[in-house]
Amino acid sequence: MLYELASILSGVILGSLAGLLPALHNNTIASFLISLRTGLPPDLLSLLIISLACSRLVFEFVPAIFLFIPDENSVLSILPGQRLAMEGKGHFALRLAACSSLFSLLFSLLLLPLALTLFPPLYSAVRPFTAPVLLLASLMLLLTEREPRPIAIASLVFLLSGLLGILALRTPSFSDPLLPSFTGLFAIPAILFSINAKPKHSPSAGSAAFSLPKFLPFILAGTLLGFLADLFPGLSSASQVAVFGLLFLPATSEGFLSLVSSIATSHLFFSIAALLSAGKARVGATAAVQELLGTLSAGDAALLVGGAVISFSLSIALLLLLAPRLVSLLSRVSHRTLCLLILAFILCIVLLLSGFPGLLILFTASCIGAIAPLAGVRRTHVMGLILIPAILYQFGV
Amino acid sequence: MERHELILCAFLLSLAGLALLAFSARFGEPQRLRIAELGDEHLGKFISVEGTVASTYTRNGNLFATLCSGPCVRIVVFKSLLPQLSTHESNLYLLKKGDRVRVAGTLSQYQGEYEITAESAELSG
Repeated sequence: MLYELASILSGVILGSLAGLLPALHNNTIASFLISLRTGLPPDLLSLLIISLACSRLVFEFVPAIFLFIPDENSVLSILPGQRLAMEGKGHFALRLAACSSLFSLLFSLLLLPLALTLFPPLYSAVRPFTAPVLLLASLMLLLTEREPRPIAIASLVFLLSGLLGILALRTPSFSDPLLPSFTGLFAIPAILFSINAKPKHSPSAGSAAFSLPKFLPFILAGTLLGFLADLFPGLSSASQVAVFGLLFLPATSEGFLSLVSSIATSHLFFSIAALLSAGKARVGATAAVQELLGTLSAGDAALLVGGAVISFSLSIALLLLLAPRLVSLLSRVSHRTLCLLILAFILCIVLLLSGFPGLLILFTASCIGAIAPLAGVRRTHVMGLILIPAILYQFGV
Repeated sequence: MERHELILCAFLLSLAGLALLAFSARFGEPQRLRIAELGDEHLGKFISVEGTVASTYTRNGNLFATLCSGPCVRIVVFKSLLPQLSTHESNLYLLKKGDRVRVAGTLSQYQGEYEITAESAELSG
């Protein structure tokens, strides 16, 4: 029991540091840990990897909201998160993400027995329909723009980002294309359009309390959507699913942030269920666990689920404790200076990880990402980056 | 600059960027390595190796082969790629022990062993 707790705590600490450091991907960390040959038995190493993934997911909203640097799960939280941060509600945004994750975890735990039973038959049943469902949902999303001109521009943005996805993500010679793609599509335009803005400083707004009744629909929807994400092979991230959530839930900035963090939490939690019941590894952490443990026993299953619950809870508590200090630290730097520093950091990290092709991807993605806000259509249409390659893959192209 | 001019500018620059990316993708060369040189620093990278087929088998339509040149590495060709990688000159459906093959793809690790997910393959010699 002591060794298991030590693994969980180590995972929480490593995950929180990894979450605060932009551009460090879960798969990179998991591969690194496996290759280290730490001497840890496979079950403890698996527990560490799962705990790390849970903790990282909670903390990655900090760079997404305050530094505009996203992971594939938190990328859509840049938009509402930045909006809230500019209104002086950055602390509230973090608290909202943390509390939504907590309640989503509770609901996911309640649904776990049902998920374990339903997952295998549902997975087989929906798999043939993945491509048509993704295509239909994408079309419906475009049509939510209502007027012909915005629909046309949204379609253009969707197709351009899809083309970028096909070129950047499917070409093996481009290493680590996700970071420059997402950063270019979301972060760079967000930074450039806000660089001269002056964020409001409103201590009372920042300390606003989290209201469960107000956000319960988004948390419940997020929990359910996270479960559905594990059923559809073409959906690999919380942000893809959150885009489709917009079809059913007209959301404010706060509501959407609650939705994204709930989806991310339940998606990771139910991916463990998918591994246990159907042997399907849907995210990098569970793929690493599958590599270490092979077929899971009931004991392994209980250990991993318990570890996930404990590490999520500890991470959320840690984030809520640290949030005021993090916000205070970031508020000491002027917004313009912070934007310039972030731009410089993004350029350096993209060059380091992806080389000059990465800079070209970043430039192209930034140009595509700028079109939507300039034209007044929803920025989420750039998720064509992931959706179009996923649809084509499901159609066998 | 007017808003519609900015949109047009962004659109044209996007097209230019996409064209350049397509050009780079077309002519992007894998890093040529010997199997003995494969290391953790190459994980996730696009590389090519040459070796002799020591064994092959298929599972669920996917082709698995062990390629050796001193040390060995496992090669995976997913079933979706098999038709386009199987040309008249290099028919992977007929791949057998003793064939000399150059494979280009992404290096990964599976169950502690290196594995190349093939994007291109050609019989040599």
